[in-house]
Amino acid sequence: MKPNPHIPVDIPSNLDEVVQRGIAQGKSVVVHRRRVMRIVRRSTCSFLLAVGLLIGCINLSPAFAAAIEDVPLLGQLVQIFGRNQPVVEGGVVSNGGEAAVTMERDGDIEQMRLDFGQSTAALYKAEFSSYPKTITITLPGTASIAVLSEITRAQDTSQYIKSVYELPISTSEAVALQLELENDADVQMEEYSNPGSLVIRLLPTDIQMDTIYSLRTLSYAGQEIREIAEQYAGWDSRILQDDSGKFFVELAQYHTREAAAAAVSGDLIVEKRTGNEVPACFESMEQYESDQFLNEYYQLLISSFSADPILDFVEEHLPGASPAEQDVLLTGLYGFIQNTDEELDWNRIASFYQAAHQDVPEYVQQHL
Amino acid sequence: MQLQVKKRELTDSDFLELIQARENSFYRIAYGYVQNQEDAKDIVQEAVCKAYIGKKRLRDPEKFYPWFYRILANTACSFLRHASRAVSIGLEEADLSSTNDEEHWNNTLAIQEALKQLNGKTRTVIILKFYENMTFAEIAQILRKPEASIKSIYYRGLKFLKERMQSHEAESSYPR
Repeated sequence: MKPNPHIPVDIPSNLDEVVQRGIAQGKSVVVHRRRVMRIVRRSTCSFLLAVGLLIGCINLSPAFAAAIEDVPLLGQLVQIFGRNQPVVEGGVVSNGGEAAVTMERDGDIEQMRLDFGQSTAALYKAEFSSYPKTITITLPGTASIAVLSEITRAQDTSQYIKSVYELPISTSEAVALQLELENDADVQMEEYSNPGSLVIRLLPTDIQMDTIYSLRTLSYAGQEIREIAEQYAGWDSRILQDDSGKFFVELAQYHTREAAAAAVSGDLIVEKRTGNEVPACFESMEQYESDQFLNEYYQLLISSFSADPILDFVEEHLPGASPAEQDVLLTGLYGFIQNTDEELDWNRIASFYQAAHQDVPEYVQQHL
Repeated sequence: MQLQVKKRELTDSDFLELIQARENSFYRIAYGYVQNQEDAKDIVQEAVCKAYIGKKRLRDPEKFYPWFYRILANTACSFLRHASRAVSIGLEEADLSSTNDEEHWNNTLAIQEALKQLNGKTRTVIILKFYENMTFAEIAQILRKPEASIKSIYYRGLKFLKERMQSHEAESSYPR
């Protein structure tokens, strides 16, 4: 498509902001719809279950009716942390305790309380990070299975918690959990005593759509990532789950690809992500390089006004490409040539299909 | 103009890149409908929002741009309907010398008035042609109509504009 030769229009300088606002608005609608659906789905199940349990319990124990009116007390504030503070820690050493989790909601604000069942909070460390937003909670001395199941249950009623999982670096002495948050949630934490508890407040905020370049490792299954994480123990890193449920270590985030690329060493890779996008799974360097290569082609396709650079790219890369990559190269090329008015070298195009041992499409044959 | 992407669900990064690659074009078209910067920006923002919400339903990401231009055109038409704004296309800087009646195109106000009377589809075809210089094949893909129909709509629209202009010229040449 050629630039408009007919009617020139001045382009406002803040058009990027307009686009960002549109995406943020769309994202907010999507998040809201997803929440509503999730709450409706889960509320229906929970309601039926709760009604069944309630009827059962009241029949078994009339005293239960009075007990459910108890409201948990918050206790005395020990320390309050800043909004989205990267690292918070506190509590005292405990041994094999459990944490009961309760969720409370006040309008748009949610409060998740980990009650350690003792007068002071058990030892804890919580780290907050963005792109995507996560809280990593490490609880040395707290039984993992109990906490995980409690928090997973809390997720069902939360509008801000996207998912909860136990990190593979958990040990029997220190459980490490990760909460993935929705894009529009901020976090503030407070520690209380009598009873000892950690309160995680989830507060509404604007959606972020910035793009970052993540310096990260490849993806690994549960146990392998523990060794990988140890290799990078000196870094201010975090473990993240990718879109295939595997794990990787993220070492840093940069604003530009160049800055991230400059920090690459060994088997590290750079991944571009926007907003709260779930990281992609790259299990091998080949898979990553293939993705980068196809992204380069994809960028060329969306930015080219003429077929020449695309034909040159295909000619250069087709011989060394895998069958799957060849398929993408030819599919992209076919889409482009179908919709251009340019004079094309059809014999050259046909030769690409022959080189990839694919049938020359009828549309190309017609022009030979 | 069909631009190709890999056949996979669009990620947020893909979506942002695709939009940013053509944001100037989107703005020009929106401007073509409303002729003022603020409204044009509102239309682009709303179209981006709608597209983001609907991107999961886009079965073939290769058809992203025709799909988005369709959303943009519908958003602009809807904007004009709801705002009840009699906004027309300003052709004050248009170079329509390729037509045989160059002198007829000089009175831009008359053209604006004439364009207001075009129906939504014809107006969209004219805007895509005038503001983005799209080919008939591209417009056909956006409006999901045969190329021949688009040509016919376009030339009918041009003929209508010419007639309106001739009529306007005749009126303005009467001695006062």
